[in-house]
Amino acid sequence: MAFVNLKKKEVQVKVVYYGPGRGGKTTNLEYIYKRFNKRIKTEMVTIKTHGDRTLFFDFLPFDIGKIKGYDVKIQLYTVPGQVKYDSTRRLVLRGVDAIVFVADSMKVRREKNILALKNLQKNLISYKKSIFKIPLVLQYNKRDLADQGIPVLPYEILEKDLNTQLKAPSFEASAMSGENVVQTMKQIISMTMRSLQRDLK
Amino acid sequence: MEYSLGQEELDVIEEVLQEDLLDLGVNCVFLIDMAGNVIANLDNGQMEHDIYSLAALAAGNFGAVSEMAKIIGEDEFSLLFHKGEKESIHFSKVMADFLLVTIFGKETSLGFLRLKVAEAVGKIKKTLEP
Amino acid sequence: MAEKNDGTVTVEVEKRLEDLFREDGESFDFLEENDDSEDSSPVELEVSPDFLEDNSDLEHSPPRELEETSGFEEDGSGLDQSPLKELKTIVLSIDWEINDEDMTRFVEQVETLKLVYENDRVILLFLQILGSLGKYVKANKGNSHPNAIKVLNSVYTSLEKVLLQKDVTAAEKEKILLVEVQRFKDLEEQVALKRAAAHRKKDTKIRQEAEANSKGKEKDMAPIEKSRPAGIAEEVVSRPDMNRMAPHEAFAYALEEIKQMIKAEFKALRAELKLWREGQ
Repeated sequence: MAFVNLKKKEVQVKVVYYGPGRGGKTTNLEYIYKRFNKRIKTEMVTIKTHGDRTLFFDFLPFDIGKIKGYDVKIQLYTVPGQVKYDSTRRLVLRGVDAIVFVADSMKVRREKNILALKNLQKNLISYKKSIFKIPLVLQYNKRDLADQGIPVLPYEILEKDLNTQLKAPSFEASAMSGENVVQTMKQIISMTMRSLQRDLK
Repeated sequence: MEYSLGQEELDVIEEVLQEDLLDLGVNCVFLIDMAGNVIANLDNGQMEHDIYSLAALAAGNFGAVSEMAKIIGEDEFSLLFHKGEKESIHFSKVMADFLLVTIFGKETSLGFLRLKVAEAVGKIKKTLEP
Repeated sequence: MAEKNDGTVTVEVEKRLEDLFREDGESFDFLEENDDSEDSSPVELEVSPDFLEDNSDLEHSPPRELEETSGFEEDGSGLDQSPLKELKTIVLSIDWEINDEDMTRFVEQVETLKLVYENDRVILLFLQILGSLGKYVKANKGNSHPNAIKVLNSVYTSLEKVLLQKDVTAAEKEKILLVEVQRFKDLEEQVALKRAAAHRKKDTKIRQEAEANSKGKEKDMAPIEKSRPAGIAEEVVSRPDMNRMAPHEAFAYALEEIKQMIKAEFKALRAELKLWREGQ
């Protein structure tokens, strides 16, 4: 839940990157951090295993400056994607304002994408939130693998699997190269701020 | 969906944190919600901690430990405290949705700090309760 | 879902994001490590699956913090057989949590030890200070002066040293005691100052409230000011330098002072109760 500090005229917003394990959630944040950390003056916190798998969460906070007189602080989080970390994912989801669902375009991950989306829906329900109402953007990551001869799911299949009911904005992306990483983030921030704007008086 | 706190409420909270904790000699104290948002934070002027990262980690840490408590059959643990060589950190729940985090040095007794934290929590509850 | 232009917030946000995150067409190879002059790698908190082994040193090393704050002997030589064993357990417990039960046990244990050491004036004095401190913290809890627990720990540590260390001479014991007595008296002054400040604050508040209610009732405030406990001023007195006295004189003086202090405490408490009743 976004917190509005009327004394400091400040808004804090939590965006969580969610999706199957090894789908590219952390890579999204790492790209944003490495590309822009000097401009947005931030430090990234990661809690991961020696095997480079996210263990708890990644965290990237930054200010986007004053909007309508309020200092807006964005907090990007990722969750661990491995199935066994469901409790942790639910913890990190607490107070979430917006979601970026990072799907893995690899053909072999089709089932995992669907399961992860259902898992998100279930965990949001535990906080009395609806996946249909929360600001949400879909990112179909790893599109670049097609160039390496690895089978990827066509855009239409991903849309059919994941976006038939949600009808959310979606982006084909490559977090490793940075393609559409920033666009995804801009989209979700815009959507979130729009849903808050009526209270920024 | 969001929630807000106004000038008056935040002034009261900051006054409690100042008088009950900072004046006691603790180095830094912050009130956060369980999402990791910072509600109020005060320090002795010598701290340069990254409060936002600390808040995110504190919320995650407290959340994780609370889940562990449930798994072992406890409603909650009465003490969450990490002892460092120079600085230690203490966590205290404020109602269901907030967390009071205190960072203090060796010169402050934990037992006494817990008494003062309990007092501060009581006063903050009155402000935060609808 | 058709996206409408919902107003200026969206425009402002989009413009801001554009400014912050424009990619400028400058080349950026995320796939290779950048050779930025500043370290821009994220702060990583790695958890080793073997962390238990990594921390095994910590598990066995003595807790230095306790030694620094309370100077407890970690090897416990002689403590297991000493009458102090129970008191030490309670003091360690108080370090973690201050509650009625432990404070009562503390005071009772001190009383028990006074009987054990009734013929040892040095130890008795230590115990009297500890007893006084215990009663003060028990009565005041969170309103105790922050230094009270520190002094309690310090006095206990010195008592343990005096009782358990074999190579401490009688003269050294007295010296250690005098240091603690001085610490105790410094605390007493701090408590008195704190109480005086609190009363001033309370009087000011009462006066301000009365003025806000009605100007005609100002004259009723005068009796409250006059009845500020006289005991506080009496406590803050200049003391003779105990280092110049002969040891036996210093003990007698310290013992007498402690008795006076306990009397003053009760007097001040009674005055506070009276103030409170008048303020109702």
